Amino acid sequence: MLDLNKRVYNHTPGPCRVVTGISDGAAGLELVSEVSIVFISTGLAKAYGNETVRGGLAMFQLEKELAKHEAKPVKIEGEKFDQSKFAPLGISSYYSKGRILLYVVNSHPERQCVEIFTYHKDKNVLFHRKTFVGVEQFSLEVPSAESIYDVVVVGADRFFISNLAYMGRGKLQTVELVMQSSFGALYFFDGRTVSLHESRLSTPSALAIDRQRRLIFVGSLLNENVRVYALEKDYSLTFRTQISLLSSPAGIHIEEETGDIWIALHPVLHQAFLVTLYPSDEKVRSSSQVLREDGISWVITEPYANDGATISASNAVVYDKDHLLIGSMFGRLLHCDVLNPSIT
Amino acid sequence: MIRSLLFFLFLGALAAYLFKMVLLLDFNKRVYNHRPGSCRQVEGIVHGSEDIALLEDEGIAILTSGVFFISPREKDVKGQMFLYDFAQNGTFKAEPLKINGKYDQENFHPHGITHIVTSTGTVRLFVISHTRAFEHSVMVFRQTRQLDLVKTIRDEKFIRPNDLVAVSEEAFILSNDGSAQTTVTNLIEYMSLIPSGSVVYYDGKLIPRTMSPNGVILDRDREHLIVSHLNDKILSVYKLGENYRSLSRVIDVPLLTAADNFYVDNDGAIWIGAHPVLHEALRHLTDCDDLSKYSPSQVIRIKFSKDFKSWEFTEPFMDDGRLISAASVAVRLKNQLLIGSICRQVVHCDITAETI
Repeated sequence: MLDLNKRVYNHTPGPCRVVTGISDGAAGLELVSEVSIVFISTGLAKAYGNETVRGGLAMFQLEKELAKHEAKPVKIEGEKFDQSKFAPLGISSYYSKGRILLYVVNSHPERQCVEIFTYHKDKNVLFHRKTFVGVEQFSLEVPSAESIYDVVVVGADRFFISNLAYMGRGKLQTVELVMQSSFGALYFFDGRTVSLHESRLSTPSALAIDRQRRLIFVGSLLNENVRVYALEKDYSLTFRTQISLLSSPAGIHIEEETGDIWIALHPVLHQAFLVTLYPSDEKVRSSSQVLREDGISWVITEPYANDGATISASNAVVYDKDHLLIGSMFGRLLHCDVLNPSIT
Repeated sequence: MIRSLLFFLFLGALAAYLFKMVLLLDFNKRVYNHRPGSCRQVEGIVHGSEDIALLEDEGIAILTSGVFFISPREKDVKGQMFLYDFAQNGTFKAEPLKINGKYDQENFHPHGITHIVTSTGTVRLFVISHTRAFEHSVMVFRQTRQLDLVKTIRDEKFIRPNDLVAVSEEAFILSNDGSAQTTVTNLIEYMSLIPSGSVVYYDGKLIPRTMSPNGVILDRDREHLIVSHLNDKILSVYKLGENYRSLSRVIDVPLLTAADNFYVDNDGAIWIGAHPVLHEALRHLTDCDDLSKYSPSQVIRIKFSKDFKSWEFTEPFMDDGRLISAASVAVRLKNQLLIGSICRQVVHCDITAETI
């Protein structure tokens, strides 16, 4: 469970460099492939007690030949939006008729919710539209989600969210996790109401969708696997299979064209736990790992691994045309070229 | 009252022992494949190359094949020495080496190998060999694209030799990875976790009792001895005393993987063949000739600082066992990586500075 006898040994799929402009974490990444933009959650340390960190969103434009590796902060506008209570984690996007909608998990302890933004590419501005899955959205029959981790959008204002544990972040959640309880859950919002879709899951974390094949992927942080569900027409989920990883998945990205699954993981979980206790201490590091599961043969390869010196506690990954982006919980964003995509 | 107390103490000790064995045998580990470039299996060699001696000046590697180690092998498994020429273009083939001299071919099963260039410029090879009755010797060869047997050395200090490193034309340092000589006693010794290995200097004593020493090698300056401890999953660095007669420990590096044999390259980096999931390696090695069993392979590269107090790890290669099973050694010559396994395939990979 805590991976006491594990470590990773550094290797890269090609040349790597740190993306400038990101220093307070890149805990969530989302690629909008239609416009080749990657959105980045920054400032997650705010949710872990560091009030000096500013939670926000940034964007990174992917180009064929990147002369510069720089992410730009995105301004957020909206009357009801409170930036001081914004600690973004998981991101999902919905692209329709040239319009980009961003669904962002806000994991601030005082405001566990999903914030919905509209992105204006020309101005590089996000307009805050709505807040969903606040306390008021839940009925008496459905307990409120206290530990939202990730979100995946399946239609306009329709999305699944993963609730990591019954208890909110803190000592009680730690006790719950140490006892390896299975009180995590998957909720579905259909535009008006929230319903419980899967319960008694062990620490559901990363979510992803394969739109072409209509599959939903749910990572389990402690069980160290990824569950695969078929998404039915009525948005119900049918369990298909389970992929054992023996490493803790934190972020999942699906390569639409090939069906390959890219996973960012915490290979040594006790290190990752220490990092969450000291989110701003650069001396406390955790290993980073990226796995890739081939969409056809299901063979798992490991394109990237690092002991924490370059990137600590990898939490998100995105891959597009030999661009590999790896985001850490509280630190850097890394960009790598993938020299041998077929074998790495 | 005392009886129940003793019972709970026994339960506690048993639980602690089982926990330690679970961690040691890597039941919570698996591997994820990756390669430093294009890889392929080398033709002409199928019964492994437990150890490889790389002769940089000549651009060739000498490979041992057909090792016999406690567990029985099929009758057709023949102990052989192979040559791999790195200058071959477009082909990846190992050629068997002819051995001239008086020796028992049926009982020749080479294991660890080391080489040294003599004052006359010839290459001298030292090879550990086991008979089918598991008797041990070190055979000394002169290498000229053939192997001429110079002599066979037997010594009571060769208890269960695994690897060796030449320190001069006549002397070497050798590791005994344990003392048990049969499958049953080896299992008992293994389960007991008693340090029953040793590292010896022919002629002399270096480390009388230690836990499963496996690979041994000298650094490029030939001032430090590097020893892998397979079951402890550590690599130890020792400063060699005058005339190789004493050792003082410099550092223990926790590898968290079962390191086997070493190669030290021109840059001073150490290349290690390792078994990342030990229980699978043990299962595979008890029946080497059952092709349905295989074990993960790992290649690690460690670069030490000058004083050996800090180091940097990379992992150029990892395979689940289907390309190469239970790799034990890796040698690098410029952009080529040659990986040998205990009793199966040899793999050649392209490698670049960016994918090391």
